[in-house]
Amino acid sequence: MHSMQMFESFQLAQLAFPAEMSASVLAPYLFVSAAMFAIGLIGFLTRKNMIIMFLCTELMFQAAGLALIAFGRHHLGSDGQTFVIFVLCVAAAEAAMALALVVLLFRHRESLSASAWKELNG
Amino acid sequence: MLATQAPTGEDDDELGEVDAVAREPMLACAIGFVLVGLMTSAMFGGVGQLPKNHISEAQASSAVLEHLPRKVDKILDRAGLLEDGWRAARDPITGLAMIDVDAQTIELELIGEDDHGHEAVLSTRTLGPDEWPESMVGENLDRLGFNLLNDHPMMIEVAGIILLMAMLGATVLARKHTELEEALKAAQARKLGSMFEDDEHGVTHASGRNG
Repeated sequence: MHSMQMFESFQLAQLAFPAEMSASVLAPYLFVSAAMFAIGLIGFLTRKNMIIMFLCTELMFQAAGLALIAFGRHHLGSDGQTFVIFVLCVAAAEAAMALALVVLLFRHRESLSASAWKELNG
Repeated sequence: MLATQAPTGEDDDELGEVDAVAREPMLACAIGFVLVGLMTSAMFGGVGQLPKNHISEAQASSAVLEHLPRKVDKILDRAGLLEDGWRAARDPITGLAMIDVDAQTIELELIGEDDHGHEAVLSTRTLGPDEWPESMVGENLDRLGFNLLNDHPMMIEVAGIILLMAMLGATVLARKHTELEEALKAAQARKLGSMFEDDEHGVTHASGRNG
């Protein structure tokens, strides 16, 4: 009964937004998402400070989340937003682990530079 | 990259120290603000291209209102459309609110006590489209809540486990390792033990006084 109702509301919403309209509305979100991801990637590759690198991975995380929400809105489902809530949760866990690792590595080398850990190269 | 000197050949090792100091912090802040402004305005630029007569997202998700009879009650009450004892009618079998979003009609019922003192529906009436309150819309958050808790309850469990593991992992990783010699450890243990004994005596004295 409930899923049936959800399906009806989904269809109603689909009728309200023609697909070709949604594509032009969707594009700017994807553009911003791509820009954020690019900034994060460039920062991650060019910086040596481990905390800055960690912040850049967070930026890439959020860029992916933005794209998920935009696509979810495009298809008028809530799954995208639900998944982003989950991703935020994982990002929180990841932030805790990454900061703990940074603290651990700093204690060993007294430096935040990634080049202090060159021997970890594959 | 304002804060980073470009690496020139062999000074690769110094990069870490250079990276820690910003060269042009104010300029970097200004450029950052401009960048965020540009991206935000680019992001919301597309919304203006939506057709003017489109059904808003809130209206589109109003079908969810059926599952939220108390929310319907609250909206009606705020709009001043409910007299004492009246509420949105519930379907006797499913418990859903009897609301038709397309036709903009809401069934109301008067709740009171019957001859045996049980709760019963005394009277019903229909609220027409002309009385439909503006604020009677389902929100994105309502839909999201149903989606999260009805369709993906497993995700909440998994998220809880992930957060617990991360908390424990971060604590274990970042704890301070202190190296103590065995004799020092024993002395520490003895000291703590004697403190504990003293405390116990103190407690017995205190309770004895109270008694």
